[in-house]
Amino acid sequence: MSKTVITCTNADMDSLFDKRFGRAGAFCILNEDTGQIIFLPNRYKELKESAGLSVVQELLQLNITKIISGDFGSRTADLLFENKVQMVSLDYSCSLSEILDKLIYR
Amino acid sequence: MPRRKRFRKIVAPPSFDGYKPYGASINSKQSIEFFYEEYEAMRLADYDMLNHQEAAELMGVSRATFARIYETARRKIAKAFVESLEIVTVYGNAWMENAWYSCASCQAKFTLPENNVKQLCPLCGSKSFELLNVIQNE
Ligand SMILES: [Zn+2]
Repeated sequence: MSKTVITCTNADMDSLFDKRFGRAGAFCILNEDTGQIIFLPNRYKELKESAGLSVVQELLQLNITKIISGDFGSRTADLLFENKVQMVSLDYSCSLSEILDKLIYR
Repeated sequence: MPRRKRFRKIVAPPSFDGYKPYGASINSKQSIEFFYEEYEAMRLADYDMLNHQEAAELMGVSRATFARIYETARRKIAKAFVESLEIVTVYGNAWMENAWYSCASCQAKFTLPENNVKQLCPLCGSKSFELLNVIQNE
């Protein structure tokens, strides 16, 4: 099973890719086997500190295998390495659907 | 059917890109490609002085496979010395923990967790990517 998270600005298909991880607007979760997509608003984005770590804890409960974002903090990255979650870091701006297209139709 | 490429886990890549003989009477354009996993095998066996079983476990391969990589490493070094050839270190079939890779086709940077069997760029599926850096644990 392959569940991919993409950080995005809003919880809908017209959203833009969000380079922030812990403070992303929302998370798009794609099941790469079935093509099913769900959105999860980021309830930790206003946290003063450790937003990234809180997000990781929540996402781990959903058994995600891969995260596409921009900047993972070093503690967040360590936790993801530890839990064998693949990280993908993009440094350009694009829409959420451009990333989904690559994942689904590559 | 092409043989499936098997990746070997290594702890640290060489800190150089290659070695060049000097004062050699032969001016050969040939060079030896020394794989990261061969460097690792030689380091574990002849520098860290581990026995083959321990070294094989560290690299996540069988003892027989380790012995084969190690033997190839020694032969390449010997050939380079005897024939005054340049040694060029190349990525080979290495795989590293806590490392970042960069895709040559789509510029995505990514990690390759141990449980990830595909060894492809996770975004565009390209097989062409290179090691960016290593985060040292110790
Ligand atoms: Zn790529």
